[in-house]
Amino acid sequence: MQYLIIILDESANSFCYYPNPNREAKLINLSLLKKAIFYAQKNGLSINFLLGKAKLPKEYLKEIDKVSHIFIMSQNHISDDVFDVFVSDLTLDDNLSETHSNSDSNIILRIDKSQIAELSSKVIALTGKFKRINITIQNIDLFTQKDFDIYAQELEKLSEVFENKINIIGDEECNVLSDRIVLEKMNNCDAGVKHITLAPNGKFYICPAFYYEDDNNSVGDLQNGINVKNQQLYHLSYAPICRVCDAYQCKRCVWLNRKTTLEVNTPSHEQCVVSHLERNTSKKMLIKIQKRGLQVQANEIPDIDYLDPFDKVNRWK
Amino acid sequence: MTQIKENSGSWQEGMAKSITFIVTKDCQLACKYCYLVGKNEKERMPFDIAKKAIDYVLSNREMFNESSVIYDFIGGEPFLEIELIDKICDYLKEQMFILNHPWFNSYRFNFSTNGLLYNDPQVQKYLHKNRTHLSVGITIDGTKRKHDMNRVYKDGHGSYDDVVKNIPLWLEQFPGSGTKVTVGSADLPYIVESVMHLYSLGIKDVNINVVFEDIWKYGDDVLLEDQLLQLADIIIDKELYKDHACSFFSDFIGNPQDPVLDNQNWCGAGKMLSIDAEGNFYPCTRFAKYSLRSKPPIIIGNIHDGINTNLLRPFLTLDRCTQSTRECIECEIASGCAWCQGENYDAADTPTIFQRATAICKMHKARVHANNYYWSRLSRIMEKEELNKLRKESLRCNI
Amino acid sequence: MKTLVGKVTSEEKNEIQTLFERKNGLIELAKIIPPDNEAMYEKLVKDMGKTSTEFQKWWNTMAAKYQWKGIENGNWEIDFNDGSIFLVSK
Repeated sequence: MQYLIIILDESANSFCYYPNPNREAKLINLSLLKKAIFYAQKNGLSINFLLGKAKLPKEYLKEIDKVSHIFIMSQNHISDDVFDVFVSDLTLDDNLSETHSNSDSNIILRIDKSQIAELSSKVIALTGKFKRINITIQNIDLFTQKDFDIYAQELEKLSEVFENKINIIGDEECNVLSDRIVLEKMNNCDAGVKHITLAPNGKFYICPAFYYEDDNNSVGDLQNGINVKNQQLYHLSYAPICRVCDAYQCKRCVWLNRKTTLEVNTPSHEQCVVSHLERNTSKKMLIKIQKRGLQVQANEIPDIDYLDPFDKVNRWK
Repeated sequence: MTQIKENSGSWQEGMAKSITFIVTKDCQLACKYCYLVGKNEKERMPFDIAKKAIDYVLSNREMFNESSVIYDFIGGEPFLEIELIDKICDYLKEQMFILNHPWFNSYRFNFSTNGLLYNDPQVQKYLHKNRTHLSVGITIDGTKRKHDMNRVYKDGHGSYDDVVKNIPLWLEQFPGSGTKVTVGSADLPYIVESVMHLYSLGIKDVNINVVFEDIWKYGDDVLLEDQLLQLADIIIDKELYKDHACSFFSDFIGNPQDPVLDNQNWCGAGKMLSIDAEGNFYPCTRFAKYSLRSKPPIIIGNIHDGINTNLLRPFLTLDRCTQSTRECIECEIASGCAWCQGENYDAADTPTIFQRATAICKMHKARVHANNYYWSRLSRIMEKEELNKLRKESLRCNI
Repeated sequence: MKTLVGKVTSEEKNEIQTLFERKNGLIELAKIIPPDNEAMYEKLVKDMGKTSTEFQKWWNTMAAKYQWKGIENGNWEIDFNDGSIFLVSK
């Protein structure tokens, strides 16, 4: 385990694939927060704090300051005290050109599948404002062939912008295009392996999505520690499809996996295709960048004849 | 060369698509080891549901692209619904023919029955009508005392007498058929007498296995080993191995398994399709609600919306090592240690098919010991026969 | 009396097995076709004729190819497990 995610406020917006919980503000109990921070300190974990609508009282900030951390919060709840990773919902923030910028920070851009045709134009509006743009598409599991086609086109348009304007690495990153170029192995979310989430109720969850979906999904509490049953299934080596895959930038979201295939270690067809469209666009972009004579520390991305690695490992084919 | 009879394989050796119709959840019996925890008299498949399921399956050739098909009819007791089954089979035959479906050239109707209705005129009429496309297995557990310990009517009395009277007719109509025998904890002491009894009834192919559920008590493995050692001696001493088979003894069990080359899943769940009375699809009947003690059913689709292929992905990519413990992967006698995917799911700590249940571990070890003994004795007999043959040939040369 | 007289290849075995299965399928289908369904009846009769012809043709071709031993009032049988051909005398 490397870090802990602590949901400081019930109203914290989603920063990932799960839907916004749309809950009322309710801060975690201060004594729980103290115990959680102590737990992190004892176990050598850093902390990602999820903030919501509530302003953090000074005593909370004082406790938080004791441990290495970052804040993740929605632009709607932005405060001068706390700002590390900014989450923006495209559904909420139509005018991204007016977005509060910070070239030292990351932005997570959450976009619904119904809006992917606007993806490139929205992202272009953000270029130059942040160190890194993380695109997270909602409702991937509902993608149709038409959506795949649109997403491929949008990635193509985005890659033209990134490939001509910037040098990709060390300059400005966009997860769905630049990550695959620099990665040499899987860089998944690794919920349940590298990080675990503490909810305001004092219980641990694999990630915030599991908490907001059903608070009975807990995997332990602060008193008794973390107990993830079948924890091996969260590891890459126990994922038959993912362990043969080289779409290294894929988040391999275990919550989406469970939602779509009922198994945390098995991704849906849609998840795989989306990640491979990104992988293949990254490959094309890398070739173009190299043709421009730019030095990129990257391995060649091999040619493959599938968009879904399931085709490689289907044992009954 | 000594002839050794092996257990008969399934038709098309597992290459056929298996489509299972759960025609009823009712059964005359209430077998004590039955995994069907939700049997009832109400849920009977309406013909219209079966018809829609058939239309879906036969019109989706890309998804169901196997060259052969086995249509399984199960319950409860399938023959309770012989009229419905007859209608379903007629519709299947018609549709496969009308649609020029390749399965018309390679299909079977398969039944596992408790045998109580086997001589019923309506059942017999059906069997005659479909004679060349049938596979019927009657379950009889052995001697009367073993059979009646578990295979009892709802009022508790044994069913042996009502089944055994139908065995001669069944063997006459399906010569060479085998029976499935299930062994639980209480009936372990009766394995030897039961296998011998089945042989004496003319059933030469006995498929026997211990239940996968976690019901085993301290010392059961010793009892099993003792029974199997006795059985091995009798089968060898009486030379029954030449024309009788018992699945407890097999020359492929009890070896280590390579994590790469021997990494197949044991079970065919996901390759099969099971349909219930409501028109829901399952990867195997064991994932239907009436089969599960503690987990929700895994419904992979229905006759209206078709199959959600995402839900099949775990089943189709599952391998031996990913679901096994380190101890199982490194086990020196792993081969032949079976599992049921449905039981794995039902017994797992989380709702997953990727956690292998190990309740039969000790029983498998006991079986391997007896199996080693059986093959050790048998191979010595074969060696001697070969030596004798060589000796005779050499004598002839000398003369 | 059953005597082994030869063996066909796996492909040849599959050909005759398919025809054999089809023949049986057609026979069992014939039992259930409603009398008023003329179109299906016509299709069935045509198919039966075609399948029977192909079935016989297979035996003729294989007999000529492999030159199996034959006797008067005897017939050949195939074992679908391994493609062995037996001469069966009555």
